[in-house]
Amino acid sequence: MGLYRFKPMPSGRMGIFWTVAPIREAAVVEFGCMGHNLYSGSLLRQGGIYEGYGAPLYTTYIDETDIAMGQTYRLEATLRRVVDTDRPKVVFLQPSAVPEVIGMDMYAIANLLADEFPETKLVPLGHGSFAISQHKGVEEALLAIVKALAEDVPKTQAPTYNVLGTCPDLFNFGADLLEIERMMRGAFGMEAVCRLSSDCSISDLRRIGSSHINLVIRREAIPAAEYLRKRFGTPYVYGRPYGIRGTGDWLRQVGETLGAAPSAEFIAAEERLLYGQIDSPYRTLDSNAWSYPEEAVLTIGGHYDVVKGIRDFAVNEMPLKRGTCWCDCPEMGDGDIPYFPEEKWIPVVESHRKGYLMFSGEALRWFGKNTDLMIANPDVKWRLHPYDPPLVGYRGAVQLVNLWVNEYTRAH
Amino acid sequence: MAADPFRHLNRLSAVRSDKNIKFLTPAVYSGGWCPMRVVCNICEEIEGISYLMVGMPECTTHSRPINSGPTGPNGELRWLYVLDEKEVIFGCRKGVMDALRQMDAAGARAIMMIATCVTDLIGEDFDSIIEEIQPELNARLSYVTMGQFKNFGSPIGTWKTAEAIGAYMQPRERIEKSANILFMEPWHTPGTRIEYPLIVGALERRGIALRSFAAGATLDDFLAAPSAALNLVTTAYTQPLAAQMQKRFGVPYVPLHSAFSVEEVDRAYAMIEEELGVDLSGEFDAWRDKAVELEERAHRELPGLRYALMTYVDMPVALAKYLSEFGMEPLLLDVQDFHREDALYARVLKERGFDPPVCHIMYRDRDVLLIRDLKPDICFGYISEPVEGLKVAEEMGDFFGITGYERIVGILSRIFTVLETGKTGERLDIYGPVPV
Repeated sequence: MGLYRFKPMPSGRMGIFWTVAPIREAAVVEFGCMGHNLYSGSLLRQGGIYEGYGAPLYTTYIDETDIAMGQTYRLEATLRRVVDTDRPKVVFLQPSAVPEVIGMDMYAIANLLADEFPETKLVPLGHGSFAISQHKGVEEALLAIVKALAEDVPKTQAPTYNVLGTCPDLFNFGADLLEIERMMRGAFGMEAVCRLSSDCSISDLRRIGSSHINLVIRREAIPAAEYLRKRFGTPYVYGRPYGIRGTGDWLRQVGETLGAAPSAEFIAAEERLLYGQIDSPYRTLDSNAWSYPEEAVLTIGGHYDVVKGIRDFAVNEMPLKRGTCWCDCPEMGDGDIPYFPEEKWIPVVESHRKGYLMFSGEALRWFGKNTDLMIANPDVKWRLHPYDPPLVGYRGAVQLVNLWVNEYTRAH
Repeated sequence: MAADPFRHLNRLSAVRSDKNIKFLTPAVYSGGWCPMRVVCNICEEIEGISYLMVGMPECTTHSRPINSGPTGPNGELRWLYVLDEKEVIFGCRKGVMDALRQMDAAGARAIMMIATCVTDLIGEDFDSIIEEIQPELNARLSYVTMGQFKNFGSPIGTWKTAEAIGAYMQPRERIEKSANILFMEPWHTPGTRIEYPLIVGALERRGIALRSFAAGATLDDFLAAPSAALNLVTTAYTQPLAAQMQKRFGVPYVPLHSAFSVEEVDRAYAMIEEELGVDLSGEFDAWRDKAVELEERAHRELPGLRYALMTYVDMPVALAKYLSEFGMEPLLLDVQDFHREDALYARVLKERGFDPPVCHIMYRDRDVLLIRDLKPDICFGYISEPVEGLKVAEEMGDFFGITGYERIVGILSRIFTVLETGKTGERLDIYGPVPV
């Protein structure tokens, strides 16, 4: 990893932790030192996963003697206490960095203790290796969760869907999820079974195989979707709906996969409203782009799927021009959207003068840029409620245009 | 019959360090303050000190509060070195040294390296790193090892940081009529005022040149510190630094932090008068009179009362020793960090017939219910919401760094208020008039 000025890419363990933390009817027990649990909990609360929302977050502590002797009694005692007092249906077990270094085997520990807790399923998570990123951790956790908890259940009578990959590590996850649900209701009259993982319970997870389609809103959820496809025959659609045409295309793709076209009335009504709302800003931005093309450049960094979606909307549907684009995960970067480590994005952000710069709140604030254009974490604000405008879907499209036209206004 | 939930705890007399203080209940909720964060907090409040956090993505990410960035207001660097999967096995020496060179080139004057759990676990040798690289750098180097598995709580982070900053100091010529105020808060909120004990203002008025080691201090303050004629220790966290400075530079110190009673404060102030050649007579009469009055009342009304010390009580063992002077019986002490001087207080307590169980409270909201079952007359410390049947003197952090007669007045007034009303009452304004 090396030297960083800004917050580094979170570890796989952090990705795993953030993925399981919002799940209701569960508890998280982290084996190891206590700081990560506390600070991650704070970060989650900052992002809207308040105390009492999802799984209570426990840790065990570990001291020098435990390390030297390979003792796990703290974990066992903590589990007994948690099961006794909280009665969770599931306990997610995770090692912190120190047990990981000394090679404590959480899977073996879970197996050994399973018989002691017949009413509570112990789910060990992630090898927590030092070589994987937050994104890989999210991927591992999503797959492990569905593998461990999905039960063989019949399909629901009325068509239903799951959202896979709505996790709190992604900026604006709550608002984006609400918009997807609104659109699925409006276009298909469908309700979700499981919103994995930012708004679901163990009961929801157990019924995840009963839905008719999986909406994969980030690529980390593809392995989980593939698993569900193979086991339950549930098809999936991968992609994040951005823009007006883009959202319509996404809804039609969902419809094709379901064998049921989305409501034409819904799409028409949404589009009519949106085109009306953005008409004037569009002309302003278009005129500016014509006269000052260098001011119409969109520079954008963040999660690959978010960057791609917003950029495509900006370039294909709005009069913005493609600037430097990058993603925040080395495993995802490609020729279209490369991965930028800190030393590559700092000069881009620092030297940015004209056009639109969308990136993490941390970087935007530090370099004196407009933090309203934040599309990626680390965040610099609290997000107590999920009713901020979304960035995906129809309402997300108008929000993005709103952000861009405000930035244009601010700059002029 | 339910098992005694306190049976597994060690008695105070058996405790030699925080290593044999057990958790009251086993599940830690939700996590615990890591001492590395304290180091960052303290360093970020001292002008001229840069730091290099060395650890995993967890440590480096969470070392940054929401409002923090890579550079401080005066160009201090707050950089992060993250170990990769190879360095976890083979060490990070080369990478850290390269990072130090970059920080030096970027203008850092003094760099505090903050080692965390994994670097402590793999035994990275920061002494040897300093020995090898210091000659080629302009920046002064120091370090703290903050692996939480061997540094339980934030207090350790505080005194270790104080000591590590002390490592920057070099001998200076003594300046008479000068003193250092050793006041180091682990969790000072930037931009908020620091409440110094009244002795500070009294000495200023008598022309003593004071240098404060608190939020807002500068590296230059620390470098000049060995020139002081006296160190005034206002918190237990800075006592190790005072001892270090006495040993290295011959600067004597007065342990104001541990002078709880009127008699002890009298002695401490007499020492200050002698060391600095000042006359404090008349300065604290009103506060002293009130303290004497409250101690007399305490001797009448507190004997036999039973209490528990919960979380966020500064110097719990020292406080327990003070309360034992009035015959108050400790039922349970939460001791986050066992200070070196606590063994002395524990011995005094035992001589007075008190040897309470000692614990770490790790799930406050639930553990407080166990404490209620002990039926204490009063508790001290933090509770998130009122508990039926429990009288709690809250906000004991008010007395952090406060010393002298005003602390006696503050603590005893609070006890009487809680016993009478069940509520903590108003915060004592030590700069205002002496309470009636």
